[in-house]
Amino acid sequence: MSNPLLQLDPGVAVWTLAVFALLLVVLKKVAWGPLLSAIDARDEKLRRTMEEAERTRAANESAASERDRLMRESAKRADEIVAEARSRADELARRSERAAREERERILETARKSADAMLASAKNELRLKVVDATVGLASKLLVRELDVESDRRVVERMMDELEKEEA
Amino acid sequence: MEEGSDGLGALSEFLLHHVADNREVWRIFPGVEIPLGGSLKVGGIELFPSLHVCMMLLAFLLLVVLLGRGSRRKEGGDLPAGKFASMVEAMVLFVRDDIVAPNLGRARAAKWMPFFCTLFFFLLALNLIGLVPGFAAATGNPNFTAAMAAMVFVVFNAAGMAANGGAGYWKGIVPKGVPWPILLILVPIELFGLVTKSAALAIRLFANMAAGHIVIFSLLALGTVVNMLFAMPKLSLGAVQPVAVLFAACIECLELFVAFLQAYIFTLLSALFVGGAVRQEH
Repeated sequence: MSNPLLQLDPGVAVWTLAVFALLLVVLKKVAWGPLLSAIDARDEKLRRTMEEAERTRAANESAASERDRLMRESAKRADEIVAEARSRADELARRSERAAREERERILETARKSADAMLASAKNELRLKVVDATVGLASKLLVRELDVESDRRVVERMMDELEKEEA
Repeated sequence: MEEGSDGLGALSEFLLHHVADNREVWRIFPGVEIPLGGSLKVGGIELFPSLHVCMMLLAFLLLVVLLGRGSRRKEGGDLPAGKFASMVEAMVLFVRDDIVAPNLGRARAAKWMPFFCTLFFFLLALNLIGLVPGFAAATGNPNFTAAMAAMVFVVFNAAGMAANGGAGYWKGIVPKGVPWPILLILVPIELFGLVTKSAALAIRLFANMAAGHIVIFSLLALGTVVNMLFAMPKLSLGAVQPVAVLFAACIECLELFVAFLQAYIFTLLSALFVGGAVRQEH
């Protein structure tokens, strides 16, 4: 029985191989070349983009940890600065207190000295007045004019002696 | 009964005639015909294009034009230009990621892509053209499928020898460390296996495509058959025929799926054979 479906036809086989071979060559040029290279380029671009994203993420992470570290460090540093400032302020306060005290003492001392000087001059003046008064009184008692100059020296000597005895 | 079987015999001949190749005429529509009765013998081989050869040439033109357009990119980019280009790219990526790369590995896939893409799209185009009324399925021709399978046979053996060296490839056909008496059995089996798996490739495609078309034509002829057997024109043409046409339309839809499936299977198995020949680990 000759089934038309199973006829041997080498011509069709030859055409098949020829058409396929030609199709392979032509499509490689007009379709697969541009298409596959575009797909490859896109895959490559995608791969690069993802790598870059991964790198950026890692960089961000390290930047964040660096920032944390810096913040911790600066907080510590700030604490140190505050502590140092406080200790320095304490020191300054202590020093100015001491200076003030010294100044006060110095002023007191000066005042005391000037008071002493005034007292001494007042005493001196009083003594002169006393001498004058004494000499005047004595001359009135003696009803005569004493040799004022020489008597005054006598009285002053007596006063000096008196003062020495006092001291 | 005698009369009926004579009529059925004529009908089956008519039906097979529609599925088989044709060297007389390509009847596109009733009244639109292209004569194919010429002769162009070269070395005893008739090279005048038959109906199925016309389908191959048509597929060639369609593929070059459509895939040429479908591989276009958007201006200055890697992205497909338009819906059709996106569809083509999706199919090409399917061929790469689900057929070529799993069997040949990523590195070799790039080199083999043009071959397997061409194979897939050629078979797909011929399968789909065969579904268009007025056209024929060249993939339902054993001469076509045998030629394709023989080509795959040559390709995978050549690829194996190129990758492993001639002697290395043929030694690698059988597993290592097999005692020699067993080799006496194993070597013929393995060699025979190389041929049978290629032959199976040819038979599978031919049988699937021819069978689908026979089923469709049989359904379309069902009304006539019922009329022949029972001589009831009203029942057969009024009731049976519309249902049969509906069934034929359903089978046509199934065939649309089969067209993709068989193109995929042929390409997948070819990739498997090439992969097996290139990376000979059993």
